[in-house]
Amino acid sequence: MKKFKYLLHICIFVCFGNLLVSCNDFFEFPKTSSFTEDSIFARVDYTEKLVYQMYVGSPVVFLSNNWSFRLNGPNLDAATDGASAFSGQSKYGTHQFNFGGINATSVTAASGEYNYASPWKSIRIAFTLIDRVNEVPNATIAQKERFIAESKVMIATRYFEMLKRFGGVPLIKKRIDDGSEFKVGRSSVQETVDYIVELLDEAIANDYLPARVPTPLEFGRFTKAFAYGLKARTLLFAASPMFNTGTPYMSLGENNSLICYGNYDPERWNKAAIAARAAIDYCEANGYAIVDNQTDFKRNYVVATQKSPREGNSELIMGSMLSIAGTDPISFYLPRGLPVSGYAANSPTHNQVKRYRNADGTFVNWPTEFTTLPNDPTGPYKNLEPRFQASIGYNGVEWYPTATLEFFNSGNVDDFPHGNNSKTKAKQEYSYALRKYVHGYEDVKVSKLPWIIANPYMRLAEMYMIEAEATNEYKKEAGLSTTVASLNKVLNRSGMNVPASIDSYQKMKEFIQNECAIEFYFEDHRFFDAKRWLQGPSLEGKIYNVDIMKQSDFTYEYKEYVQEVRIWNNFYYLHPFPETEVNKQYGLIQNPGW
Amino acid sequence: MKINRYKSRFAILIIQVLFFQLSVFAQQNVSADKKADEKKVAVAYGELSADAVTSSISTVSGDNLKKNTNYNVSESLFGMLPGLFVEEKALEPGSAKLNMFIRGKSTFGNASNAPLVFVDGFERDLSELTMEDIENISVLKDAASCALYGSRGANGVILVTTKRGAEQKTSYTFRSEYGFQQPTKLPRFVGSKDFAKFYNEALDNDGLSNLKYSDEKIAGYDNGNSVLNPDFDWANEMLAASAPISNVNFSARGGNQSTKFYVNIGYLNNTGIYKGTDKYTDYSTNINYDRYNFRTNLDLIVLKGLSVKMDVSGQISTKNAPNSSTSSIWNAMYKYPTHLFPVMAEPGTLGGTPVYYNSPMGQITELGYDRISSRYLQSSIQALYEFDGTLKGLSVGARYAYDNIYSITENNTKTFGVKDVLGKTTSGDPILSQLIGKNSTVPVFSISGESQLRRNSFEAYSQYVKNIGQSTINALIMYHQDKQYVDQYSPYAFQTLGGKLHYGYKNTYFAELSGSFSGTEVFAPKNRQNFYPAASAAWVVSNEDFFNTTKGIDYLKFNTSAGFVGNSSVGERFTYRQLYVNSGSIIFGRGNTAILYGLAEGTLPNIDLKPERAFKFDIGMNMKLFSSLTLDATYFIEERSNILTTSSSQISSVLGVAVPNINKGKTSVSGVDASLIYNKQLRDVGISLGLNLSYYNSVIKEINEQALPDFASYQLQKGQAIGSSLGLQAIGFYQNDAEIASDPVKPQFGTVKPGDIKYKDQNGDNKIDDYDRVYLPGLNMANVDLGFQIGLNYKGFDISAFLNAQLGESIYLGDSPLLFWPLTDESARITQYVADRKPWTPGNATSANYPRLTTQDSPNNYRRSDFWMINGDKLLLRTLELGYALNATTAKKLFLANARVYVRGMNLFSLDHLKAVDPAAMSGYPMMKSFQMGFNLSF
Repeated sequence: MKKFKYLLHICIFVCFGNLLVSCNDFFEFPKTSSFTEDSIFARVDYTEKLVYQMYVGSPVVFLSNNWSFRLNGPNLDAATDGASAFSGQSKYGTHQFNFGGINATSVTAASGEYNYASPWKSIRIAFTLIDRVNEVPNATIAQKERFIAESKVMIATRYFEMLKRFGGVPLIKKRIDDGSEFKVGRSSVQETVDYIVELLDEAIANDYLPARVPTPLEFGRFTKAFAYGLKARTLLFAASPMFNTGTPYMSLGENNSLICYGNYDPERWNKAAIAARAAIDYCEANGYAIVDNQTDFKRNYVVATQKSPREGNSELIMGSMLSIAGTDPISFYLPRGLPVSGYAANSPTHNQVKRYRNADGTFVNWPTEFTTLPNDPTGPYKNLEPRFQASIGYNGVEWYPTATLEFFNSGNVDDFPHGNNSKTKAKQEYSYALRKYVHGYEDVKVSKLPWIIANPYMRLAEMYMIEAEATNEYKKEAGLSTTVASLNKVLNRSGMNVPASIDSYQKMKEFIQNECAIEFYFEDHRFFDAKRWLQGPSLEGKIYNVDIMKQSDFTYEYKEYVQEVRIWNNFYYLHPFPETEVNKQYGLIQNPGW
Repeated sequence: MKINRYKSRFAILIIQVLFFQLSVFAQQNVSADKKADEKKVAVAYGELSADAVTSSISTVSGDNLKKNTNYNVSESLFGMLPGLFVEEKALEPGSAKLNMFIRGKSTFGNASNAPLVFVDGFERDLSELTMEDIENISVLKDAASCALYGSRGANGVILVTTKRGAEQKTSYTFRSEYGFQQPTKLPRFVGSKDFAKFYNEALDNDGLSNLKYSDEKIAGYDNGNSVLNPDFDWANEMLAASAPISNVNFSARGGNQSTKFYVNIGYLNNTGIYKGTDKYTDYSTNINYDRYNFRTNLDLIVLKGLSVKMDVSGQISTKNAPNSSTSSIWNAMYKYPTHLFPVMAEPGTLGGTPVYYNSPMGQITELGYDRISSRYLQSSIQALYEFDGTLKGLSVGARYAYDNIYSITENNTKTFGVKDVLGKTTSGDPILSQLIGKNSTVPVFSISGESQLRRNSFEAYSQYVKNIGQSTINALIMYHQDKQYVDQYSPYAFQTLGGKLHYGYKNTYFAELSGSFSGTEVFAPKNRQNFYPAASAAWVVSNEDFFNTTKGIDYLKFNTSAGFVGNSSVGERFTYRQLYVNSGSIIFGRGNTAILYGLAEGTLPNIDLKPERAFKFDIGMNMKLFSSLTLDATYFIEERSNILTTSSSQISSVLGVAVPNINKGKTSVSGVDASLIYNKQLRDVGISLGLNLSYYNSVIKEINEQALPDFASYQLQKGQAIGSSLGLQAIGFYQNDAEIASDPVKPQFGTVKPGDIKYKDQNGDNKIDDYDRVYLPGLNMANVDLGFQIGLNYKGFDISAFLNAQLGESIYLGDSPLLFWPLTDESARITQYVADRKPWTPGNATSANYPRLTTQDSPNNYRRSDFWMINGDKLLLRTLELGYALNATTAKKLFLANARVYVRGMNLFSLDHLKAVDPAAMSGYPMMKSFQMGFNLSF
């Protein structure tokens, strides 16, 4: 018994002895990695991971590829007169633009048009790299300098994307760590443009930033060609009517400099033209070229807009691979109804169709009603130019060898059913389907191919278009020959050219604007182009569609009608800052009207 | 004397079995003398006599709970314990968890409001328990009762005690129940013809009249359901009339001086409501939950003074279910059209279209099945040594528990295709499309989820109990630690060193000091361990010499407590340090092989990260009148501080990195818990009535919220109750275009048309935007909970009913858009609810009670406003039971100690404001009512 008591006391001691064990041992940290900033700069492969992180969420990828991507499915072009997103899916973020539902919170939320938190994260990483990359012990000078140059181009890219949406924005010139320093208000448009150009000039002066990526495996990283191109693009926006003016689209009183230059200066157009020419010269000296060597005109355009440099796309200055298995992402681009059953999140409108000329260069006089010959459903479209054929699918066209698009309704259901992709059968709204970006993947729901395309952020063609537009604005009729030459560089490879009838400044201006809407269809240009030209009202009003009826005599009746009526307010010209950000009251001035 | 005491105990036991009782006080007062202290109450780390309890604790016996549920322990607690709120939600067979809150919600953000659950002294989940095994459940509500749980005590503690053996002749109990379940209230939808008419109405409203259904098509629906003109209801096609449930338990209880035991073994089966799921002979895809449970609780006296308890228990369950999520199945049932294509396009092939290709019928019959196998194993050993001689009164003990939970999900996946009806041939036969999707035959096996939880707990304690003259001293010192390994962020560790000193004088005055030094690994090292003290006192007035019971007051006691407790479930861990973490990915080059992963700067650190701290004050009274009426009421206040609240609301985004949450939030909660019990035995008739009340009111006193413009200061969360929500105020419908054009107030959510909801411009800026949202009445959970029990017995018969009312909640119809926002997101059904309210059309402009129907997006109408808020107050008849027990002599002739047969209905009746569908099941698996028959034999 006594022995037992003795044992018991030992037991008690052991039990309570736990108390003596240091608490910090008991509270061990989970054995997960604990990586600090110093670890990042201890090895070059870790530093590279930070470089990758800088590219995450970059605006270079603008094609929708995910339900939670920008606008939840459709691309921004579906918020212009050129396209529409299926109205039955309320998630689609373009509805808010088209029907007046936008507000400061939704536009800048994570799934809105522009995630306002994203650029600042990237900019912070860029400055962290610029500050500390020299500490990396096993990195070469070339590696370090390239990281720094890429960081600067990244900051410039992020600021350009903000400039075109917001005007002047807070300028951050170093990494902020002190709590008081983040109270940064907006700078003027001029300061913002100058800062972007300054950063790009520094990157251009950097000998270690390559003209093109040294290996195809790095496609998607910034190059010096892109720095040149972005400079031209920035100066084009700076010269455009929205910013290059004394009286902004809406007054912000004494703060007008945040949304415009405060005067009109034609020299800004000249600067843009010069920068575009410099970009063209640099690119062509370094192996970039307009794609004009494919099997046919249509193929030229497809390769230029959808393929990667490895697949012969020599004009892609900046882009990024989309490589997505699964059918959800590509479904946003496909029409509703059998056999592909897409979501019609990016449907072309009749307004866009009317922009194209015939393949022989003549303008099309679109009737509001049209009846085809028997069994000739493609009558109204088959003669349109190659870029139309490459961009838009229409009733009766072969979608892939065993399938044809069927947008027609049946005039007599007892004879033949409604078309697979018709309103009645599939609730498809527009009688068109987007073809750009899905070449080779039209049957993706059947073949289950992973969808792999290069998302074209900047093409050499754009430099020619910038040169044409800026020259026309700066030199007017005096520059006509340069303007026409630049345009033809782009048009010729699609089998088109500038008609002789375009012989005045004003005609040329309108022609260029129409060509931009065609050439850069669904490349995220139209939305911002219309705004920088102060043509907001062109996004307003009636959006047309065609109603197609197949009759018992196998003719097809095409009838134009208004599918939707869009809304425009002048305060839409610039995006609002998030209300939550303005309410923090550190001096962020909201754009007018919001 | 001894025999008498046994008799009275036996009487108590019988009464407990036959009557409903609400709380410990009911039980303690059943014997109407002042010897209430014989009843023990479970408190933190031990038990005390009821008189001596100074803190706020409510207890209910397992037998009282059992009739409230089929098998789910949390479901049995609705309204049963004053102060405990259980959130109602429909559960499918095998899902066992309902959210519970003690005295409502006191914290916000990511922090948890869930109480700590201890079973037999160790942290365990209620879902690991079998109803049959529960001796009683207590809730510890105030600082004094929770102080020993320290940094985990602030949300209150639920203590469960399981049944143990007794020094008695071995008794065997066999209980068997069989019954069936039916949905309480499924939403009703309009038929095909009405749908087509409504859809045409919607198209007219949208200006898309060219897409309308032709009159001919609509007339086609008059001829009844056919392949060409379908008209059916998914629920009728897919749901069986009822689903069976059965439950069997066999237990034995007994023991002698040195060995006592309780053993139980049981089986439960609950089937899902789907039908047509036995299509394939080698497997069923219906939900089927099979559970085996066992428990052995042993008490051994090893040596004089040394007792050992060894407990082993477990559950082994297998759940079979369709290989499609419940929400996907039910969403499809509420969304998929019943007028476009038939259930079966042709024998063996389901109907569907490219848009509606995932037929709900296919989801339950053709996608294969999942099998989820789980096991819960709990084992513990404890030793207690009670000293004798000079050290009499001193005891030391230790206990150790090892629990293991394992679960694996196996999928047997199949696919199916559907066919659309394209038209009809000249002879009138349907023309079917090619197959949309693919048919596969044999399910493909895969394992989709596997998880394991291990938990090691250890505890040591020493207690000293001594009576000196009229004083009683009860001192305790204890140490507790536990570690859980469950995921890559494991271990989760807790450690507490605590003690208490309880002093009683003349069995009338009691005081207690308690406190613990308690911590967890979550927080910054300097803030890990904190001290949580509490003090409490009680005065049993009726034990005073001057007290005279002849006035009708049999018992009267007051108690009060105050102290601090903490909450360490703050929703984040280790955020006092900043890390670089694996983050986004980017593709350079070509193809999937080139995915590169980045390392991102983690959230800036909150170097002061610390647990929430709650100050709690309680004052309560307990009285018994006329030997039949018991009243128990407590008023409480809680002040919670150190609640994590964002700091991003002040810091500009240009910083470029996520900013931490900081411990700055504060709330204040006050309320009342009360119970009123009436028990009377008049010759052959026994009556028992009970009323429980739980009420709380919370206020956010400090929160780092977004700065708002002055004109919108009414949106500040500060000063609002936790769980209140902002929304617009609807003031009718726009009646015509002229009204829209002339109205100076312009809605900002998109184009409005006649028939759209018109909102009140709260700030007078002539715009309707998010700034016009105001706090709407009601919370996201009930803040008043009432439980009313009634029991009657006459000779061998007994009847009992339990009513539960939950008040204060607001239901947001927008949470189930498929039922209330017709035609959104390609939904192709319209509920009778919508139809009954007459959606706005130009023709019925004045009588309409619902916004216009539209086939398009309607951001103006379909957003949170009081139009979509429904008063969520409800009253439910949770249980109605009728039983008959054999009287003792008859039973004895049959060699039985006790025999009772009963029938029971659950959720038979409810009253609520929504009516169209059960508010607890606005989406997903339906709420079930059940009918059960059972018997209980003891021998």
